[in-house]
Amino acid sequence: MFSKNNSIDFTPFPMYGYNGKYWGYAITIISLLLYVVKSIFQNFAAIFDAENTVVNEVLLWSIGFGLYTIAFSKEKNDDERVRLIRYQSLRIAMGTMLSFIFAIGITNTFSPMNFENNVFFQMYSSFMMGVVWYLFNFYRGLLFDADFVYSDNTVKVNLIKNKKYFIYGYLIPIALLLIVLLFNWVFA
Amino acid sequence: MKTTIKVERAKKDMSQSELAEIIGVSRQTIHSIERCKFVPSTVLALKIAAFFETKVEEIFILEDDD
Repeated sequence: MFSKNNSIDFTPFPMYGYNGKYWGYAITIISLLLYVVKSIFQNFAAIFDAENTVVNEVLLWSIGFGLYTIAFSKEKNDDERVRLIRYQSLRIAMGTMLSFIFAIGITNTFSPMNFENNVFFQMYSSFMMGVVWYLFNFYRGLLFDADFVYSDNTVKVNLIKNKKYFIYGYLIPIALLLIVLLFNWVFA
Repeated sequence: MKTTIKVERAKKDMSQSELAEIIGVSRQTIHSIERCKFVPSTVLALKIAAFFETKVEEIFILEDDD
């Protein structure tokens, strides 16, 4: 634990090594297959059914845990460019997840939800949004979008340079907020 | 910024993968640096220059708009 100079030498929230990805893929694929098989035998029962069983939730959380393991495993060659892409992706995922939780929270303020039925949906959707959105952006930056690393414009500059940002940055989040409001109104 | 890594690589008849392995980064990183899509850190730039036995400012050249 202590280095030669008696300073503390540990990494807060360390990543898994590259082998973590294999475990992540294995857990995700096996859980997904089990969930599909179970759903077939239950005639495609709704994921967020009020009568949801513990087994269903465990399988869904296992899928999420597998993706989480993949997300927090290092790349084979984890160099400075990969670390920069990881930072950008985590920032995007964190911001999106916080916005989503904010949307759920504020709708609860105006339209109190029946938490007995919704708590799994709230927790699971927030968790999966963070993990999936991080993975999507990370591999987009790593494999497809070379400009991703230095894309750090402010809101104003994005609007000036790219009118489509208004759609992605404002209209889509507002649409998501309205969907969450509608969901809470229908199922609350 | 522009870079002459591709030219230096060609002089040594070397692929991006081979250079990446020697320097200790991924092939995609070398590719991104050559395309000027990624600016390497000081250490990485010095490593590349040391490998090609040239100065850093001969491999990475600032442009007017930088």
